[in-house]
Amino acid sequence: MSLSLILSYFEMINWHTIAFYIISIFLISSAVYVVLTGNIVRSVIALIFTFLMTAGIYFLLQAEFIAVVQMLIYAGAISVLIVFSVMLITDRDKNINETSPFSHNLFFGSIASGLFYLAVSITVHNTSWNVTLKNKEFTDISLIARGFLTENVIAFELAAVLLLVALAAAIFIIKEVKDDN
Amino acid sequence: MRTQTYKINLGPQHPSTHGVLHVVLEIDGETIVGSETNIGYLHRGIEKLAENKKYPQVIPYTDRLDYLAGMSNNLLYVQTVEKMLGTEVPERASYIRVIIAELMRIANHMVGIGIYIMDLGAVTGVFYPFIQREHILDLFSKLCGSRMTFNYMRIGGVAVDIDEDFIRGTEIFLDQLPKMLHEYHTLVDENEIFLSRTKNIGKISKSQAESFGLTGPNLRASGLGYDLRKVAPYEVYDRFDFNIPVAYNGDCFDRYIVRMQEVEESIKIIRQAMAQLPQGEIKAKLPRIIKPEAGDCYHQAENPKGILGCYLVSDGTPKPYRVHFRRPSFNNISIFDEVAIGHKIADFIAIMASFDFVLGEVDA
Amino acid sequence: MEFLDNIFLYGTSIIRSIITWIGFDPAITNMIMAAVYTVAILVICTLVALFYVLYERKLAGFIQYRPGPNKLGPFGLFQTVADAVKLLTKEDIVPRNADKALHFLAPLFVFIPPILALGAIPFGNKLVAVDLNIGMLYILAVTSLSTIPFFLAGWSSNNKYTMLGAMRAVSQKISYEIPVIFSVLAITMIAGSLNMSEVVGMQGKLWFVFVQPLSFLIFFIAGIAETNRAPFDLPEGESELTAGYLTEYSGMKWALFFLAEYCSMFVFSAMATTLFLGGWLGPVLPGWMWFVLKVHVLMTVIIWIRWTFPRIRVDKLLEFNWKILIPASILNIFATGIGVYLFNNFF
Repeated sequence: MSLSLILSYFEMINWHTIAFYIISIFLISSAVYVVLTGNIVRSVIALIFTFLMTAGIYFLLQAEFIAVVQMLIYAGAISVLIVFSVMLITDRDKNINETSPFSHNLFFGSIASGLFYLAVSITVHNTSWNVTLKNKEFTDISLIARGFLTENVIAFELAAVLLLVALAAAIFIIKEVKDDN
Repeated sequence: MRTQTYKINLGPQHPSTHGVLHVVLEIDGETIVGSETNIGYLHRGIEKLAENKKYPQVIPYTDRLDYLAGMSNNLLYVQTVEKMLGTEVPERASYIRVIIAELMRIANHMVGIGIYIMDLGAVTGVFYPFIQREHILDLFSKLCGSRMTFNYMRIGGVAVDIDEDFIRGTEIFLDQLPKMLHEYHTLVDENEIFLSRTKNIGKISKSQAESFGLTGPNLRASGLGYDLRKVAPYEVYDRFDFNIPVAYNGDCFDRYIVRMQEVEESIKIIRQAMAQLPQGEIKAKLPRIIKPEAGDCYHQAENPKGILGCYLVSDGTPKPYRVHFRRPSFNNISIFDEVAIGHKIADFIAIMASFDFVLGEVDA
Repeated sequence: MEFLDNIFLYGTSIIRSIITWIGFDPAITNMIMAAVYTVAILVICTLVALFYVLYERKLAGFIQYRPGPNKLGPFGLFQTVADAVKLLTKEDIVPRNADKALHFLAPLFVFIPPILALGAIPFGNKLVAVDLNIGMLYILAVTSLSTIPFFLAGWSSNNKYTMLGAMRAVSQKISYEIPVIFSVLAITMIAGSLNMSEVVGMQGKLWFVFVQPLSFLIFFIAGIAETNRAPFDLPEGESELTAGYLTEYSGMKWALFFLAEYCSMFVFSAMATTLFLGGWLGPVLPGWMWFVLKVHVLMTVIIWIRWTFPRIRVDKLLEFNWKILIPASILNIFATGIGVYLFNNFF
């Protein structure tokens, strides 16, 4: 008797929502930790965790492709670049609040973050969220690929050129260092 | 952007420093820009200890110099005392000494090559040569009861005569050794990774090698075919027909190939010596207490790792007044600080391994 | 035959029917089944690690003229278990200036990517925990996370050798990810699908290794580098960096890194089997047995390579990747593209 009672109780719960809240709590707390911790490596690790939790949200939305890309590009690749630069820092035990040049300009810093918050919130408010969209566009990769190579081909190629420029610039900077030595 | 160099301590506890060598490397990324070799972690004061021992009692201590070539060290020391006394060694003893010394050379090079390949990351490379060394050590332990600290040579001869078993065992060993050498050549020589790790790495020019006092295979890999067995033959080396392998690049690969070829030459020498082996005494008649006249004497011989020299000063008592050894490994590694610059850490490991040094000999 | 082929599927459906019989809601049943799959994957991981540690030691022994472990149990079968017990009882040493939390987390994180990846690998027909539409991409994504624990281990130990090891690991893994992705891309172009099961299904007539031999070669080499195996085991490189990022690890934490290496090797071999060697397809034997056999052959080759070759140097390693593997894989993609176009339009 009691078992069926428990079972009926379970049925009332929306598991999807619970999963969403659990992931969201982790997402937000790790994002806050990124900003608040003084240890730069822990900050990076928390950032990676944030990326992964974001991927989790995408999975919940059944946008597997975007979730996987989020993992591959942000958690797998971008974070490694950050990790690499962090690793080369000599003052490993110092607090970033002291060493970071950005934390010395509290005034401009708060203005910049305020403006950023404003921009994001305006965008969020003014977008008409199409909730009923059945996530066909998210999951069908061939649609995405076709979009890249037909309608948005110029943007796609421009991004490629931008990456090439960044690559060349990185090599240039490194070369200068080598010549100095 | 600004970069910094930093220092790491390679050793004294490190898998590739062959004991307790300590090298302080200054590194830019992974490239070495400065190097400082520190020695002395294995210093046991063998030279000082020898001053309190009678002449024959010093022989066991020489085993502990280059502990991978104990027989050769024994030989050099007793030769020096014989030179001081002016003793004639019986012919048979002299032949036995040559056979034993060349077997020791093979055993030493087997370790040198094996450890070298292992330090490059191919762990399997250590096992094939070690099996061969094991055969030699078996022969030696049957002969004198010990695998590492032999104490076999005696002033005026050798401790025990070699018997039929030893000769047969040596023949069997020599028969199968070329097969293994061939196999090893096919395994290692043309391996692309091995070549890229050793060709043009740690190049030492002829003049550099001379000025740092390099000897042994390390010198001969730099293009100078200087070998005491040919230049100033001792024992009966002048009776055998053999070549001195020389290579001309002075890089890590040449140091490997010279050792491999030396093993083949040693096989030739042992075969000839066994064929010519005369019958007779194995020990010269000497007084019970060895007391050389006051004076000094220097003698050197071609050990597997290079020229081992011994300088003896006698004050006429049964104990030497002063014993000094010129250890080849000590001179050989003196070039590290100069060669290391500009190489990667991995290259430095290859260079160290290719030198085949033993810390027991460096620190004495 | 049919029964053997589906034996694991029968098992799961029995569990599922038991759960529904008790009276659980379908959503909860699915959750419980997910837990069952997770446990199954964990069991596979453990078995793989235990078996291949012993197998590698035995094979190495064979290559090196020595018996290998042979004292404990028949053929030394219990050696790994005994070693695990020994490692569990060893003192856990953490350097004084280490970042203790991260030092502790690194060996745990190292198991996450292989376990996640195994979830999307089809061990047999329909024998897959989650048959994702974009399974291939998913596996690439989770394995790309495997860089992080090595960096954590190296950095948190606060030691120059571990730091060098971590730098090597990060630069090596991020570089060799590219040829892996490019060689998988060539397969995707032929198969027209990212679903692992569909890719296997297409190889009924001809394995993709015969269609894409270059791609397979690139995938295999880059995979060995990705799993830190010799001759690309630079991050550990015991003769250079003592033990690389593992220098400051002892006891069970060290063992976790060690075991995870075998798991990621297994994942990589399983991927190669699925993409190039026809996965579970094969005559007579049940599908999953074919799969295990093919994976085993690949594992044997990897182990064989490890005990034969010297270690490559760090700059040559990156040079080899950027100057040979990546251009070759890009050319291969071009060639595949042209081939697919010609095939679709003229045949």
